Amino acid sequence: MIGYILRRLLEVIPTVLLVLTLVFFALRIMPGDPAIAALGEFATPDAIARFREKLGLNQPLYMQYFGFIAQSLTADFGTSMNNGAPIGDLLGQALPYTISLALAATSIGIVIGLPLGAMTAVHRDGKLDAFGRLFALIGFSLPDFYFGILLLLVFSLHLDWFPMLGGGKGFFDQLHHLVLPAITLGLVMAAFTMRLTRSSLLEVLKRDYVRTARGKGVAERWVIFKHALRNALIPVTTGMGIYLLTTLSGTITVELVFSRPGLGTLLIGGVSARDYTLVQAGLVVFAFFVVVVNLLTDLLCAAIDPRITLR
Amino acid sequence: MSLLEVTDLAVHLFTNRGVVRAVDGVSFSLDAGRSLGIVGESGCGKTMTALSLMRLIPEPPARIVSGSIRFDGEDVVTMSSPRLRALRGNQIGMIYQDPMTSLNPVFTVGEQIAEAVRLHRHDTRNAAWARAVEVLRLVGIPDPDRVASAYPHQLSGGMRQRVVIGMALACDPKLLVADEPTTALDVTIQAQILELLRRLQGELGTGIILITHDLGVIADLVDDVVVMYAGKLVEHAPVRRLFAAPRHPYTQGLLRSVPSLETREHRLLTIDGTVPPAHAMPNGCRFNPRCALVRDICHEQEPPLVDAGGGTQVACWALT
Repeated sequence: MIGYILRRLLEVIPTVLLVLTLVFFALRIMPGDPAIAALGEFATPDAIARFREKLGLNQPLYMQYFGFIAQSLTADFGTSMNNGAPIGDLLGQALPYTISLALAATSIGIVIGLPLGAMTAVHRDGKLDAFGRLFALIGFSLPDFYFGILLLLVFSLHLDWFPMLGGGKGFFDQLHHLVLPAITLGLVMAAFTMRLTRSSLLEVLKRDYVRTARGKGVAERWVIFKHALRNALIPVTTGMGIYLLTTLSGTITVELVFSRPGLGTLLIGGVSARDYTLVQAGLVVFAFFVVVVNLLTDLLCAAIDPRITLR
Repeated sequence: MSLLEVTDLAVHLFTNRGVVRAVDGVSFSLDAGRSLGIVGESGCGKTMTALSLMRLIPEPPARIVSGSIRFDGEDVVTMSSPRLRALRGNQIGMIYQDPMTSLNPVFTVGEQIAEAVRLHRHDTRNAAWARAVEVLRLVGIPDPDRVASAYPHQLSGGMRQRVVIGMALACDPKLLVADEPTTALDVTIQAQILELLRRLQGELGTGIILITHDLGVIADLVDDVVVMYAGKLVEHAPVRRLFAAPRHPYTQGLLRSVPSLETREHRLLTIDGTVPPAHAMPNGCRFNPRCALVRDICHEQEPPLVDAGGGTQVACWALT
């Protein structure tokens, strides 16, 4: 297991380098000169030259590239092209809001989706299964921005239970602000987890080793929750890892709807202001998330399934 | 009193295409420490019969519709689930056909054996583990301490089947039900597993029900044989008697189709025709479309099981 973890960690290095390379060149092949974008069309050639020198844009491409890689690896993203604020600080302020949202949504997804999926599989075609199917249908067909607005209308505007805007100050206030956005994202996650768990468990319950467990005299509850569910969790974990990555882009919409000052809001602001350095840093952070989530998914799968580490 | 007494057992499958009578009025009994073989082609209901003994048939679609299975005087068919769980793995151990799929891939084999021990003997974790290692040694696994901590995928097919046998024996059951225990294994491993079963039977005195389609397997392993055809019991005889003087035309056909090195047949004999589809059984005797001795009554009435002398019971109109 330790060998496997080390191997997976080593594999992260080329992935990160590849991602950084893609981010760098994607921004370089975008049309338009960042200097002109920042200073306006009527900037003097002198001002443009100074600007380019300040950002290192006058250097050869490979120098820019290695500079960028070195900066990214040391988490030094420079200053915003727009207002000169250190990007590291901007990210530091925004990240907790996005991370807490993603974690809360995932927790909701697991806490609701896993048991519901397991129970609907066990009571297949029963009343609970019908409810589960309805739940999944609603979860999948409601777009998150629409569902978010709906929640805002009902629970903030009319009932005034939850705040409308912002991320909150202090732990409890932030928690209070987190509830509605987390539910918005978490519901879809729960629907997805439920469907995945249900189909995976139904498949596993047909396996011979489930019959072996029953034949040993194991109570049905333990047959399902010990013998079957652990096997069913392998595809569920992989699926949820992939889904969590798509949810990361989902945080952008939800942050916009609830005006949360998270990474999504920061990035959208950067894009509309053509703040190249900010967008570049935001992309690196998102890419870093992807790598981390993938790594955690793999390690979790290996913890569940002993066959993985020994391959 | 016999250890196991199956009377008039009927297991039906309720499918979209109608009701399939997978096991239809089968009766047999087994005394403690004795062994019985159940023989027949695939689809004849022998596995369904075996699984019914512990009510392990997949419900739905299958259901025991009538009959009784008395184990130590208690009817398994009407037993409550807690009683049934106390029986499974404790009084009756089961060996399954495919050792590659019948072990849980995410638990070590030691854990899987110890689980049964903990459930039924309420042993501590350590005591159960020690018993698992002991059982692995009993079934002839070299270095059982190490193998107990191995996962199923780290073991070969033959080793896995030894583990399954060990799991079935962990709580010293009175009855061992082996459902085609060698079918999925290589020929050399088959012989080893059969030898192991023979040795264990001698050492432990466990009653054995051995289900197989391979007559060669049962010849020197069981005391009595039940031959099944299309869900029906067609012949029941002591094993020597069955090989020496098979009575039912189907049994005779089965024995003729076993390849032999002693006779100079160039072609292997087969039984003409195939088993009728489960939802379209012929009236009367189910073997009548393939039988050389067929007569009018065979199309009209099912033959009863009658004594044919020498301990043999047979269900055939041509013999009554």
